[in-house]
Amino acid sequence: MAEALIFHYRAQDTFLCKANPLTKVVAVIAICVLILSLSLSGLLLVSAALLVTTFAQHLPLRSYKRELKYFAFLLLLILITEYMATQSHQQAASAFLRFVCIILCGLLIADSTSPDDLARSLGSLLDGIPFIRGWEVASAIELTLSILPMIFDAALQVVTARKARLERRRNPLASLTSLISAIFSLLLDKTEDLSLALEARLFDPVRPRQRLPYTIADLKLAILLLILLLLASML
Amino acid sequence: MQGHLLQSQHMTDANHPILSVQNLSFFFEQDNHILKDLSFSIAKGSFTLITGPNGSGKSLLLRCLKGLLQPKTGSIHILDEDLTHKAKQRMQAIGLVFQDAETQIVGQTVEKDIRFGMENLGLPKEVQENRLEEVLALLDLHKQRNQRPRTLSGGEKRRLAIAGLLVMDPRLLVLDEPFANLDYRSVVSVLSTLLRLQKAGHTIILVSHEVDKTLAHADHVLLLDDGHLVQSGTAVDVYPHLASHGIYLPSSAGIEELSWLKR
Repeated sequence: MAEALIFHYRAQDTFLCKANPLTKVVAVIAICVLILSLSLSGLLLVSAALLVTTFAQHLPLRSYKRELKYFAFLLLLILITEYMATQSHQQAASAFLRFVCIILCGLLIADSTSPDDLARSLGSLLDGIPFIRGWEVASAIELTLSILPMIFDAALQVVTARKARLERRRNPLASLTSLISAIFSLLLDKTEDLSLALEARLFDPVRPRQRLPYTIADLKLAILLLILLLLASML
Repeated sequence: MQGHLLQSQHMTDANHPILSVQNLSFFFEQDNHILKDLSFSIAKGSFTLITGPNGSGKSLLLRCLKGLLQPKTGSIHILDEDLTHKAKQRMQAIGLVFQDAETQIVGQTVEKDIRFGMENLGLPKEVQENRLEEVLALLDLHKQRNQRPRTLSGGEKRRLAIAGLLVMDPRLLVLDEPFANLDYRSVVSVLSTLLRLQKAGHTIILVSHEVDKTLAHADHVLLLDDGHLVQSGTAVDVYPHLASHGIYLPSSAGIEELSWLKR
């Protein structure tokens, strides 16, 4: 069966996988906010650090090649439009690197954090806030995150099936409409199956779950992030 | 808790029915009944085969039993308790492995998927750990513990689906076409796992039209056609009626040869 790899969790024995999802979410937010004000050399340092982390995390970049095409296209667009708007190589390169950092952060957190663990951490945090049904919100986020790779899978499955049956390119609008309706119908089937599976195994979105502990991996991640961001802001 | 899963916890008199269904009917439209007045009972610790041609209502019957669909008429008793209108209790009492086992795997890794049901039951952590270790050993999934379920083979996915249900300690284990799309080795692996579980006291209900793979092991056979229960009894009783209801039988094969474990 056709299967997308991108934005799927892979259990591994790396410090990023061991870190608490909340620490990773805070790290991603901190990086995304700070890259807005960094210089080009600061951005180069952050991108290099994130690239090293992708190797440490054994991210299967080769398998992502096809799935990353869309992002490569967007990167090219950003580079060209930013250069045309500002006529500055430096500004264009900075915009390019900012987007690279955001994509790498997304890949790393999706690869190292299971939606279930993220829901546990967010649920335990949100549950302490008055008037917010923390576990319910966390379950909604978890289900949404579970459906994201399903969309990639469904799209890949439909496109592969059509290719295998030598689909002829017709009017692009008609092609797109029929493709979207096929993907949507497959997604509906898949979500119905998911809903039955959850019901059959007594899933209750409101039920409090076991909280995930903070470990030495969180401390390591926090220290490394702090050093990286300090160095990047000084450059 | 050692040995919890290997030995069924729901010990009763072996001849006493664990499941009793009376006059069960189901329809989506009033004038088109899909299941028609079905009545049968299943003995504790038995291996029951429900068979019939495509469209005979086998999978629908399982969904009604499990509580995913509500029967329109009739009753469902589990261990003498009337659970007809208690879908949630039926969900807990019956572990159903779907026809496409992959669709019921929800965890991101094998271990997380097995834990999913136990967490929903709110079992203490220590009990969860014991059951997890035990089921990984029992279904030979230790090596795949941290693997993504999507990377498993067809047979391993079926075993994972069984493991995810077994740890929830169901009273009956029900499997819908468990051999569909499996190669010979995977069929043998799933079938021997089921027989091991039955030997340990679990009640197994298997729905399949591929009787050549399992009939030799069945204590009880139910033959459905067009929503009716047309035959019920031992393999010897039902065997002569199978071919006339569209069930494939290898020519010149005796009942004792109808098992892929004996090939």
